[in-house]
Amino acid sequence: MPTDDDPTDLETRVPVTVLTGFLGAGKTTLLNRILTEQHGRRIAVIENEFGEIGIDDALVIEADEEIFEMNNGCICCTVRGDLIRILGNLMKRRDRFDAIIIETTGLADPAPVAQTFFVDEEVASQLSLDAIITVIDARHVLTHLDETRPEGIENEALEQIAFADRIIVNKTDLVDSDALDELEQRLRAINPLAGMMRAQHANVDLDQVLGIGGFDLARALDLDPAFLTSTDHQHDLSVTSVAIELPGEVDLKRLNDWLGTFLSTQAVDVFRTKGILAIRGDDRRHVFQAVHMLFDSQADRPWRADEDRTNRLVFIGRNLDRAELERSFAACIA
Amino acid sequence: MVDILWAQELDDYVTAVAWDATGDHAAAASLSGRVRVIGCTGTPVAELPAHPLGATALAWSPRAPRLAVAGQDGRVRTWEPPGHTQVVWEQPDWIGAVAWSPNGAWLAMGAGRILGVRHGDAETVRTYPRLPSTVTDLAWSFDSRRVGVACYGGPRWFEPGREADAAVAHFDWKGSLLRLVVAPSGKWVAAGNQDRSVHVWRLWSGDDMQMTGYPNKITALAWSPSSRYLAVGSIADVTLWDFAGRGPRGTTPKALTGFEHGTRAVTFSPDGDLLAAATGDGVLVWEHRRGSEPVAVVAPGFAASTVAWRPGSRDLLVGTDTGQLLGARFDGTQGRPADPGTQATA
Repeated sequence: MPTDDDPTDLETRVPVTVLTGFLGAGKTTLLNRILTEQHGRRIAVIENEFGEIGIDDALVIEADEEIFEMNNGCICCTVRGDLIRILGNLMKRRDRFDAIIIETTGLADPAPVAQTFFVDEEVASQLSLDAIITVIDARHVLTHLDETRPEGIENEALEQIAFADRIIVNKTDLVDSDALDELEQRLRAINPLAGMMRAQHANVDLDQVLGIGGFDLARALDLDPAFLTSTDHQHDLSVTSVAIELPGEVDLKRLNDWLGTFLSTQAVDVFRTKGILAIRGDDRRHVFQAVHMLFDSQADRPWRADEDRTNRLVFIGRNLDRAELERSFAACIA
Repeated sequence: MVDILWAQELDDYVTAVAWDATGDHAAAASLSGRVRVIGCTGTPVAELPAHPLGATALAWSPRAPRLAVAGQDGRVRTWEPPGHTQVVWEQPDWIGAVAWSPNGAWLAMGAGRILGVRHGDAETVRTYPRLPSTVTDLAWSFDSRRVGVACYGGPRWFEPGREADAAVAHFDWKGSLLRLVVAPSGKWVAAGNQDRSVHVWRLWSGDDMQMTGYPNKITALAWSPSSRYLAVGSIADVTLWDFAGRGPRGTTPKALTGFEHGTRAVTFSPDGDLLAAATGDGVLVWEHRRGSEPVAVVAPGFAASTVAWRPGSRDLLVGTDTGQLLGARFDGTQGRPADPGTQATA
């Protein structure tokens, strides 16, 4: 809940980067680049499938994906039991790691991985989910996205894009620039918040991939104003996004009630929510994010004198009703 | 109140400490991979081969000076004085739990989703079909017939004396179990859970009850020697559930306080009068029937990772987050003001 009782200090927590993407998209290539170029930093890698990591001095731990539901009946509260154990033991060691990278299987749903950082209090107190990085193969991703699935079966490629904080469009040498532009437009319609980077052989600027956390969230929400009012998104996609922007100060109790109700009733459909909020009686910005129904907020820098206190929220998910979201959020303004 | 008798180094987070049944030897395991056997005054007796990536669990046979140690390297070793060491099981997954049956005849081990049971000095270990999730803890029934496995979906019980591989009982419950402890009376089994609850079943009817409302996942859990109390470690208190009479259903537990940074382990003294908790603020000792404030704190300011009482004594063995191993003696509460919480008023 957005409270100020105990604002967790991001600096003391070890950042964790989650790498998702289909088999062959270039995850392992990116991982090897990170380990080579970040030589000297202590990085622990948790892997779910055999990659060919070419670096001997990184600690590589193999994980056996073990997903379970919490006992409160919400299917969104699925977490990764194997990660809780591995991360818990890593953090007990005297040698602290500078960063931890979790490489998921090609078909992994990123939600349980992300939710683990909210649900387990031991993990949450010592580690912060820095970013979900999704690597896609520019030539093949559309085929995966357009695959029709039986009712109730998720399209993993779509989920991996919807959950991403950064999307690396890899193997751009294999498609022409028109196709690339079209592809990026398509990706942006699914997830307008993720930073998009083009790459060949995963040759991205690693500063844009590691350690981007809260900074990234604040910047991601400085969206193109056109996006906030635009209504001409492609409606043929099952996953879209809605951004709302409202000036004024939010009443904390009303906001908590609204978010609690909204996220728990639409938890399955709302993949991610991010926002910057102006809370009544607090002169700091509050940065907010949620994975399905689990949410977390941090007090950010104070609002500047020349800055309008404006609330911005972005929802990524299915069956989002913009008018209803705007109306119900407006009711939270004090 | 508490005298530190000795101190030594184990290099990294101490994952487990335990005394043998007679109190002649103790053992300690660390995430550095080191495992040390010591005498009752802290004298080093043996340094076992290291477990790469860390030693995770250890247990002494209740009937013989026989130690089982396990690690993230997937190995289980036994050690016997004066210095016989043997690898008894080797698995690709890390070993999370080892437990001897009360009669000392069986050694149960959990590697990933596999339960392995070794009988006596058998050359081979019997393995059971893969469980639905990783084995997080093991607990034997009082009569040594059944071993309970903690994993997702409630405890499952196996009878290694039988041919069949199937579980002989399963207390079906949708939750992720982290600890499993059987009451010394043999009547109850309690599980500490990821979802911040404690679940208790009556053996063998399976009647159950649940304690909820904790702010943390439950990994510190202990029965008193009389089986009357169940102690549950939380972030800033240890709650004590009273199983006397009709049991704790519908009651509020007593809260033992005096720390703020989490409980890692709880254990009752052999006489049942004292409760010790390894916490982020040191090891606290309570006279739990009297007050709710601790009567002593061992190593205040040190984060204690684990603690064990020496059988037949009031000596404590303490492991810390940074790898210290301490021996301490509790000298009673003489000279301390009476706990105001328990004073009778006229």
